[in-house]
Amino acid sequence: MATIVEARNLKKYFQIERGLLRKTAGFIKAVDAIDLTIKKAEIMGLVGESGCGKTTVGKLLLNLIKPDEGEVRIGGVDISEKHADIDLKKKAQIIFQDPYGSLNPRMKVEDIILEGIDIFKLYTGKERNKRLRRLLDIVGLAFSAKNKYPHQFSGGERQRIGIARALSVEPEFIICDEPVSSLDVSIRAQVLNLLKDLQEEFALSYLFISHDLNVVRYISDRIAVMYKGKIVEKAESGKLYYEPLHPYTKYLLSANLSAEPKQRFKKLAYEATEKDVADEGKGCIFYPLCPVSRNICQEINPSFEEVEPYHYVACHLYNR
Amino acid sequence: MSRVTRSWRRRTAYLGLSIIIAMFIVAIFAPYIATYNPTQTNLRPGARLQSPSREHFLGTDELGRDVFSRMVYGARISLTVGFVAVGIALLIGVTLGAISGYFGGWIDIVIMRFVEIVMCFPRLFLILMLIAFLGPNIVIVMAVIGLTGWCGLARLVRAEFLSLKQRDYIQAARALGASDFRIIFRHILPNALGPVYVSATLGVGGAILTESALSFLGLGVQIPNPSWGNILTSGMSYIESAWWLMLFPGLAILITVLSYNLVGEALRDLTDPRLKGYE
Amino acid sequence: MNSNSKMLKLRNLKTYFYTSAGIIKACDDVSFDIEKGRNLGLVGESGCGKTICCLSILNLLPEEAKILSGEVIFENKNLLKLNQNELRKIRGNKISMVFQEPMTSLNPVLTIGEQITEAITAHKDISYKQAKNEAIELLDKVKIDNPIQRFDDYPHNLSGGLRQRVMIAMAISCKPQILIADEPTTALDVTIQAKILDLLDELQDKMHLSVLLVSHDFGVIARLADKVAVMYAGELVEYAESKEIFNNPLHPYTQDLLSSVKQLKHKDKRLTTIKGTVDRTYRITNRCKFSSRCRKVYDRCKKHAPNLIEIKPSHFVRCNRVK
Repeated sequence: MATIVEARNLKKYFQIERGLLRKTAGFIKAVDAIDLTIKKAEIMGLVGESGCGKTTVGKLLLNLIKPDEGEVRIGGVDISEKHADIDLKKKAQIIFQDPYGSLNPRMKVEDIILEGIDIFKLYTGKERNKRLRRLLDIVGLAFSAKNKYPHQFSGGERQRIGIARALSVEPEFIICDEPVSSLDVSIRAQVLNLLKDLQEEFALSYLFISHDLNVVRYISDRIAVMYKGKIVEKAESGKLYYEPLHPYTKYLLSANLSAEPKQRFKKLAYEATEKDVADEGKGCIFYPLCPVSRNICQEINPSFEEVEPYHYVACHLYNR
Repeated sequence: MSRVTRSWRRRTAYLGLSIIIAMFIVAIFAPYIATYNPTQTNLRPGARLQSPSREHFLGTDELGRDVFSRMVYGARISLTVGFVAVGIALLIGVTLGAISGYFGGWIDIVIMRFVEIVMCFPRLFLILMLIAFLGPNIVIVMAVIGLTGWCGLARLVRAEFLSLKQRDYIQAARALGASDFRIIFRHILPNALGPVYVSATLGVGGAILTESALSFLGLGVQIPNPSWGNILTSGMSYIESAWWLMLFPGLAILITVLSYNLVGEALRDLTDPRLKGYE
Repeated sequence: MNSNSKMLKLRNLKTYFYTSAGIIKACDDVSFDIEKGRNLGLVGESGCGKTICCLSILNLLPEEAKILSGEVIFENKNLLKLNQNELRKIRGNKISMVFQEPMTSLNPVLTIGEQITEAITAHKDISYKQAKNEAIELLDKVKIDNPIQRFDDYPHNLSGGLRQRVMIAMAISCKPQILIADEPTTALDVTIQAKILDLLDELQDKMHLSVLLVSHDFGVIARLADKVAVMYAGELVEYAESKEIFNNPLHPYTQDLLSSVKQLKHKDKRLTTIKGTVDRTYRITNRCKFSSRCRKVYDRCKKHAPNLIEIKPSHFVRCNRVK
């Protein structure tokens, strides 16, 4: 199956500035050597807690931020090349988390949705109108919505407008950055159904970024778990959920709550007390909080290996 | 904000707005509203320094000119100065603020240092100096007020740009291929102008005050052309005998500037992020 | 269950908002109990009124809100009838509250130690030194490491999870009987959330605390609540033991809400959705508020607003369909 997205050795560091003169005190490794491949019509979930770098990965894949190292290929083309820019816009799009900040409050819905088409002058006149009608129809909004402003819609409806906007340029790949996290539970279901339907109808690939394991597990084919800028585990979604390997994934899953009464006295797997690290930069990034660490974990950074069919982990417990 | 304050704000704002509109109408239709030629003197005995009457609504000045007509034409001057000066300030301030806020980096640093330098210019002294060299000229007054008054606006706009730049809808526009130009003018600017409206409105009031002060000192509009400020000048000499010469221009300036301030304050409250509502 | 174990009785609370757009019935005839040693979970989606309910108990409502009727019986007194002085003796002392955003609840220019000490001295007549010692003990109790050093930290030095622990420390400083927690973990990461919930569980056990937990997240509710009350558009629509609610929900809204969460386990099925949006035409009073979206709706629902009825022992439902 064709590969739509290929990212190799992606790195993005941010400087920490301290003091009055804003001297560089160090670096935050927001994204630290990430490899990612997404196939056509595949939904890849990206899961992690705040600060793990998952949103930065999304922006890097879209060329909204430039990486410090590494390359990204979408549809086989290196996105950092200047001439690739226009094609990139049409191939890869993004949906945001915040339905209130992702739409320009002073633009009509029609202009918001058709902005991509207008910028590239893809369609004009009657054809443009037809496209608008089709897009609104696809996301389940009335045609009369086109003359209204964002504040006249609810959170779920705004999210639909954002989806229509992303679809307008007929992309092959959409980054969904926490698209349902800000929505009520009942609306969440509607948007997830819509995303699923669209993916099937148009054979889209998604990078579904979220901190909610339950949602990610439901919608994704494969899941990658991120911790402090690195991918620590990657597997098919059911396998990851029921047979996690990496200690961090297990920790995350133990904290995951579902709507069942037997959760009543479910405690976190262990009380993680942070161990001191002699030399930051050496060793496994999860070492400070890992309950099953060994000496080697402090010294050497484990490599990301396929330890079971299609199941990758970066952990000395499993490394050959 | 309590309900009482809010309704008070609203009512005074409408009042201010009505006065401003009235002032506009007066200024535009000056030739039709004025009862006499404002510069026509009348030195016949008894025609000078007449107190307000049915023929001369606001009386006559020391040269027999009708004060009401002079006031009406004076309104033109005041409003012109106010709007031209603020217009110049807006053009410079918004442009520089937008560029500075959007691009950041060394562009931002250079522009902001420039702003700080201009802010240090003593506006009144600059005007006085130029007038000393080039003679009293209303154009100089407008130009200088505008050219020295854009700094606050630039900072406001820059601040808005800095915060709006991070919004998701800007990222979305970039992802769709929008150019910097499109993002600045189509996306950020319309949303950044909120505080600018307030500042500009208050600025008009300030410009009118400055012009009046200068005309009063004889450095702005020159006789025989009427300005509220120079009507006040003649009023000074006759303060005991012809009170109407000081009162009416003084009131006009007060009410006009107050109106702009009231509208500006109301705008400031309206564009407050308190419009979140219940939820 | 004898009535002695009911610490707080909320009866027929009506809190309305008077806005320029009209009257919003934030809480419309809400009743529930908080039992000794047991947690109550108040669950519902945004705008359902659960937060307003809690604020009404302590009379911390904004200007536009008015409590029209109802009573809050605590220690044989009706809290809604107390004056500000008497209420102040209860707030933070016998009934405490913890909010969602710890950053905005903490004063950024005071150290956390000072703030906890302040909370203590507000209710206890002891010296600053004694209060400081108690504060350090409290920091330890909420599992903040190096409490003596942390005492001098400012809120911005702490992570979200730690700040929330500080809030909890302040709330339990006077050993309250009831702790109201309004979405205490919504802004936190999953693992931090788990720790905070574990902490609340432990404190409940050690201090014989009862927690009124407000959340939109059924997982959080399942973790802490012994009894659950489901709210929709200002009304209580279902009220039962936690096990009952999760295993045998009777109200269509509860059923649909729960299924859209539980269905996340089944990858290939579509999720149940609730059509439409919350019916905010508050003028109409004589029909079920959920009727425009209910999949079990029938004629009676549009003409008769159902009452809260005890269908089974301790299981209350507000639905025309359930008899």
